Amino acid sequence: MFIQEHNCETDKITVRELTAEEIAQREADQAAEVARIAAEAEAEAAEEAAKQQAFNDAVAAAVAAALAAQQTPATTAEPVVEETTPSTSEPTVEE
Amino acid sequence: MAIIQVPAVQTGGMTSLASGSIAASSTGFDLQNISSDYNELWLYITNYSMSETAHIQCRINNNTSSDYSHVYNAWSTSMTTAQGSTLIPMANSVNATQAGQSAWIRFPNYKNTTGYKHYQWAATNADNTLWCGNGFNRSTSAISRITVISSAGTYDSGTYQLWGVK
Repeated sequence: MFIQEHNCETDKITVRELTAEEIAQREADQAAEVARIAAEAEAEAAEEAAKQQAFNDAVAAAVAAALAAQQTPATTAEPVVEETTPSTSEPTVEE
Repeated sequence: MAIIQVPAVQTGGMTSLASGSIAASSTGFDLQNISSDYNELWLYITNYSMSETAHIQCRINNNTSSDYSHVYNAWSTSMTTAQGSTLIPMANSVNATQAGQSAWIRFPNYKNTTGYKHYQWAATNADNTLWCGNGFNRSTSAISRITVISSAGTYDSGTYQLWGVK
C-alpha cells in the first residue's frame, strides 16, 4: 500500500509506501468506520421506531377521542317533558 | 479640502495551488506545505473511482486525534452528528464501478492560528445520492496539510485540484 504526496511549495509529487504507523492508523480508521456505520444504522432505526411510536400514539389518541365523542350525549340540556292538560269537555260521540 | 478615500474593491480570485491525478492503487493523496497566503482553501476531487465500494475520507494537518466534530447527512436520512471523530467522512459509499464520482471540501479562514478550523463539504455517494456536511477541527494551527484517503481498497483513478481563494 502506498500514498501519493504532493508538495504544494515545490509542486513535486512522490509516491511512497505507507509506514507501519500509517498502516496501523488505517486499520484503526477502518474499525472506527465500521463502528460509525453501525451507530448510524442504530440511530436511524431508533428514529424510525420513534416515528412509528408517535404515529401509534396519535392513532390511539384519535380513536379514544372518537369513542369519547360517541359516549357523550348530544346535548346536556335537561329533557323537556311536555305535560298535557286533560280536556274537561265531554267527549263528543257522534252517532 | 477633505479627501474621501474609497477602499479598493476586493478582487478575490482563485489560484491553483496543486493539481494532479490520483495514483492508481494508492490509498490516497497527501497535499503538503500548503501556502498560508489565502483566505480559504477549496479542494476539488473529480471523477475518481476506487477498487471496491469504500468511503472517501479527509484529514487536516495529519491530525488523527478525536478532534473532528461535524453534522452531515446522506440524501433522505436525517442529520447525523459526530463529536470526537478522527477524520472527515466525505462520502459514505463510493460505488467503484460508477464513473464520475466527485467531491469538494472547503476550509474558510484556514490560516488563522487562534480559532478552530471549519470545513464544509459535499460528495456524490453510491446510487447517485449526495453526502454533505459541516464541521470543525479542534485545532488552532493553520492548515498546511490535507490528506484524502480511502476507507478500504485503493483509488483506481481521479484528479484533484487545490485552490487558494483570496
